[in-house]
Amino acid sequence: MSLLIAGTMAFDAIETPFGKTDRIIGGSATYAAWSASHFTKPIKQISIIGGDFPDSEINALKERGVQFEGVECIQNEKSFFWSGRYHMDMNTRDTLITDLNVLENLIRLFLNRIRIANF
Amino acid sequence: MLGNLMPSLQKKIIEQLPNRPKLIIMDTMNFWMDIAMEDLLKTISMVDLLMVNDGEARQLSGEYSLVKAAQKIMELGPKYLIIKKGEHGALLFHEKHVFFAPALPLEEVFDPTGAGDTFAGGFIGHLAHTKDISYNNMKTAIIIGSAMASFVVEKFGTERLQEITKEDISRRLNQFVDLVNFDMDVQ
Repeated sequence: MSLLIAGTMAFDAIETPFGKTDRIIGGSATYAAWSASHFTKPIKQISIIGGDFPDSEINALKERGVQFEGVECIQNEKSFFWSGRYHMDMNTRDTLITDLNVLENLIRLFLNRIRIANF
Repeated sequence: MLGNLMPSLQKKIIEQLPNRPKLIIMDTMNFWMDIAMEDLLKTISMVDLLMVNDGEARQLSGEYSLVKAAQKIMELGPKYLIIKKGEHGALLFHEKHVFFAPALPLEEVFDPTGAGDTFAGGFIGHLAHTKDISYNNMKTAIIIGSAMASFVVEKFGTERLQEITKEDISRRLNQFVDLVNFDMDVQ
């Protein structure tokens, strides 16, 4: 059975009561693909990224069986960026910055190259 | 699997698929309930399984009881509903059935970002691997999703997901079995 995952591939900057990061790789489809790749392949990814999304991350996911034909890269734009701060309960959080960037183009996403997936 | 995105876009993705997949899973968040409820309801009606957290289930249904909330949400279309309760685990609803998956009590939660997406990835990854989308297999899948989420919160970002091995996952799954395994004679 083939698996299709649609979602964001992005950068996050996170603050928790225990630490803080600069821009690190995030996004719903990124986390879901890494997690699912421990159980199944191939995974057809549908997302949109900017030219700043690192090739090393794309190659690492490809090695795990994630296919990028459905990922649109717009070279002259930036990837989606989210920054948030978690409270002491580590569950509730405040959003500090949401830069949609390339996500504004997502509506133009082309699915023509995606073959049938079961999920 | 439709990760959290604007509901109109999730709908567009479903509509553009050449054939309807065997199972469509959708994640969403309260933000869309606040600003795009109409689109959200349309998209929810098209999917087989919806994943939300407990606050979102209450907001979507207007019910405090999660059992009542689940019934109302399944009336919107999805045959299955998963309500994520963070450090308290997750509930899987289907028709009149409900199944509970615990979350592993962790000494430290370093970064909860992506825990819900990681849960969803483990859940759907197991279903795709086993080629079995029955309710019974979803019970196993929800435990696997919880186990994967328990890893991702141990470090920032996707780092833990990249470094763990099959053996790490097996060990963690055994911890989940031990967590809820007990003997009891019921008269």
